[in-house]
Amino acid sequence: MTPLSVGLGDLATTFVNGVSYGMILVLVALGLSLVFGLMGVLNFAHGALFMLGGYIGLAVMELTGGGITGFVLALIIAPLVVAAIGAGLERTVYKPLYDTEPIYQLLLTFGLAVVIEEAVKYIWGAAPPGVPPRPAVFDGAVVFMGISLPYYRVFTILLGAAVVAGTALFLSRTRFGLIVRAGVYNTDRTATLGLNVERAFTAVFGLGAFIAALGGVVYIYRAIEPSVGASIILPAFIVVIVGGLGSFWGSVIAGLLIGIIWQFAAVYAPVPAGTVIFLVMIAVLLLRPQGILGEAEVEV
Amino acid sequence: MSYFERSNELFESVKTPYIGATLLALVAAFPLVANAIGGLPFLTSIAIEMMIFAVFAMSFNLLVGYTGYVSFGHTVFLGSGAYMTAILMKKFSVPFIAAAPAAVVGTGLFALVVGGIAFRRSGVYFAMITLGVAQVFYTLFQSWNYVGGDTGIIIDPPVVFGYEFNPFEPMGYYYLALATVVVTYLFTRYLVRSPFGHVLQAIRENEERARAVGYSVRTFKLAAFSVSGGLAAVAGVLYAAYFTQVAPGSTLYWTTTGDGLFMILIGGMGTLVGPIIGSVFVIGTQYALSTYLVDFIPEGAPTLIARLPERWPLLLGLLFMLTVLRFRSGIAGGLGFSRVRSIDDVLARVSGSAEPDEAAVKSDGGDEK
Amino acid sequence: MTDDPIVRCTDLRKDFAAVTAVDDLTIDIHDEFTSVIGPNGAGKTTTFNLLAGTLSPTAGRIELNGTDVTARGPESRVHHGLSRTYQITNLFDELPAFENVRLAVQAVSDVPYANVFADALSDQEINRRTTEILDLVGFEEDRTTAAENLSQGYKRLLEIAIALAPEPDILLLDEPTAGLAVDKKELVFDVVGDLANEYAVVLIEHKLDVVRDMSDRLVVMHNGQVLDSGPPEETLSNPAVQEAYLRGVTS
Repeated sequence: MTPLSVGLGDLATTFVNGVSYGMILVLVALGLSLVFGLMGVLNFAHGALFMLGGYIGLAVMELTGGGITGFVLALIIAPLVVAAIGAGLERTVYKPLYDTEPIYQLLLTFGLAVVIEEAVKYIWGAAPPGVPPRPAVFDGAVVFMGISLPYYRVFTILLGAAVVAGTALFLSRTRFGLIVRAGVYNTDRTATLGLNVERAFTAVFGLGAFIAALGGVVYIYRAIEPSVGASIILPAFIVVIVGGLGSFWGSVIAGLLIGIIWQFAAVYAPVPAGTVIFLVMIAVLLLRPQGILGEAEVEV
Repeated sequence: MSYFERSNELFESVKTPYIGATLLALVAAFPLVANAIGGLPFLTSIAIEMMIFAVFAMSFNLLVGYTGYVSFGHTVFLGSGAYMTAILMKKFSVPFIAAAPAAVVGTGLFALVVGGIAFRRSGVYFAMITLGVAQVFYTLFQSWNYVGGDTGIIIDPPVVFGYEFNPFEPMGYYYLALATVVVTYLFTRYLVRSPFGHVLQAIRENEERARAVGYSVRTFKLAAFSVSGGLAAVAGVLYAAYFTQVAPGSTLYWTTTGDGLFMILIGGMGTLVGPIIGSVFVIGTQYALSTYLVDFIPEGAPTLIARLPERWPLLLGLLFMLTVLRFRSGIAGGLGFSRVRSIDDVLARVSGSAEPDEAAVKSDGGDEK
Repeated sequence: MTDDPIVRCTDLRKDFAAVTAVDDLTIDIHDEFTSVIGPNGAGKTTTFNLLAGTLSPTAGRIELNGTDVTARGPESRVHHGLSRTYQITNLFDELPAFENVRLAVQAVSDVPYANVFADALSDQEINRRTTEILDLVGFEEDRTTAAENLSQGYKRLLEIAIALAPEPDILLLDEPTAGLAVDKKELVFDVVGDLANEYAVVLIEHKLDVVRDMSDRLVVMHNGQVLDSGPPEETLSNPAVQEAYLRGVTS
């Protein structure tokens, strides 16, 4: 496709694809950002949890015979299972490292990412898994002002929006959310307030894993395979940097933005989309290191 | 203190240069042994691979183990060294003997640029920026026809002063790699004991304090990154010369960085011998599982058993995590090597009890406790 | 005492988000023993961090020996004659005590960094100087011990030894006895007293009775501002100081 032949419809389609991919990035980035904000750990293994969500979702669909029922069950069960796995990992593997130098946390999460990917290859095989046909409900498209919006894209966008809204309400309206927000702001203070930070850590880790796994299930109908975890973590991290580490709405806005840039770059740029978004990240780091919505780093 | 403090007998003996010399002699004689037991090309080729990656791991250790910065993109410098060699040889008909140093110096400069960007941030940012750089080159080179895309560049084995290296008669490669390992080891050994190297360790221990006592840490970090990148390129040059094919999947993809981290951690981060031990261990495990374990698995075995040999990274990954959680000094630490240099001699001399002897600073084999 | 101040701060200000930690601080520090007192949150440590370059000020200007160093980082200020200790020990944890100080001496020595074949530990001048400093602060413990394995008292002494290494014109000591038992406090204060004979010392301390006798000059900080400064007896008799300080202490 040459730029000359670009019509408004193509632009709109690319835009919608971008928003849809952006929503998936948001689902990965939210947990990444929350965990980093609260515990100061950048979880390199977070992408692997996303990928694991997809595989467990597939398993659920197989057990339940697929179809729309299977898919809905996968959307519910897989995130719960991955959340439990995430919480378990936080308790056993991450917790001992909170007091050590960041270099060991970084190395550990790296090792964990490899282990999860290899474990998935071991259990389900290294090749991309067979995916049952997409439920017929998702076939077809809404036509809006002459632009065709495939149902599945619309579904992805709506689901993402619902998760974002739900998480935002959860963080702003519940007592637990208060603890998390206080913890993101200042862990020591949270502790002196007598709040149970340890439980908050576990819960936030579980929550992040839940959201990522939800994304993983949605990703089943894109291209789930073992290496997806490693390949989604870099764009997700770019989202978190561009949005501002620890900033909830920053991650949401940057996720959509990066998703849109990605799709446009994939269609129109002469270099790979991965290169383009990486250059965007470099530009943000050099020009506005705190990200779109992040506050300037507080020096202590 | 999380590191071994004990000074055991094995360590005392490894300290002596004689053990080092004996080990070296044994390694030098290895191809003859391999020949005798009839496994020459195969065993020797594994040994060569171990040595190439030992150089890579030593270069990486300079950054991770001595300066305290984890890069997730170190393979880009291995790839840079390999690609520069291949491009110079293939596209510009530059002889290997000239292409090799050019690739090393060129990569050192390239690392300076990457470091200039990455060191604007630290910790996780640094790790991810370096990963990003590597991934950008990986994806670019995959789709760039000039460098052969996915297949990469295939070159002829190098000819040096009339000697033709031959991948099927790997003796020449074996001794070239061995010499490179020895030189790299000695170089890093001198480097980490120099005033420069001591500053790197100060940065690893406490960067803020290193600044506060007057070091321009940014300059030191950049220099370390550049040297580390240049050394990785040495491994890359060897890689290109030996495998005669340089492709993005094997030299630029992040899993190669991961292998390097496995080697450093399991072998012993921040010790001189750790990366060598780690490389032998990681590549040894890989071949032992993927080549030899297969023979023990009966035909028609259940899938989960049949899949075991090819899933060697799972085993290494678990070992890696265990090392980070429980045995941070790795195999080298278990053998009594410490990553902190002994100052006993200095104190003895300063206190005046010993004869003042300027040249008495030990330069024996192995790390000192 | 000369007329030229070693440190000159002009309208120094530091804001953290909505909080002003140091508010238009203007002060000259001369070659004498100055103690900074004030309740928690008065801005004492922030002031130290600004002077040492650990923090950059929101506004204002800092001169060291007549040079404007406001925009320069901590590594540069050492070379302009300022050195500091930390309230929370801040050492090269895994390295031997001797190496901790040796690194600080090396930082201000002429060293061939480009020579890979030089041995850091064979520079006898640096080794001798390191030993001298450790002797000076009375570091009796085994000097091969890793910093992280030292007792609290020796960690404090090592802090001071590292700060002394550059032979500073002015030495900032941030609560050097924080967290020590009473007998160890005395030991450290003895060392501080000795240092005051050779260096211009600025000390942050909570204990009024200690600093009253040692100091040539007191600076009383409150809410990020200097409430009063001058000879100890004079300053402490200022009703405003009495009220603010006592109220701050009891609150």
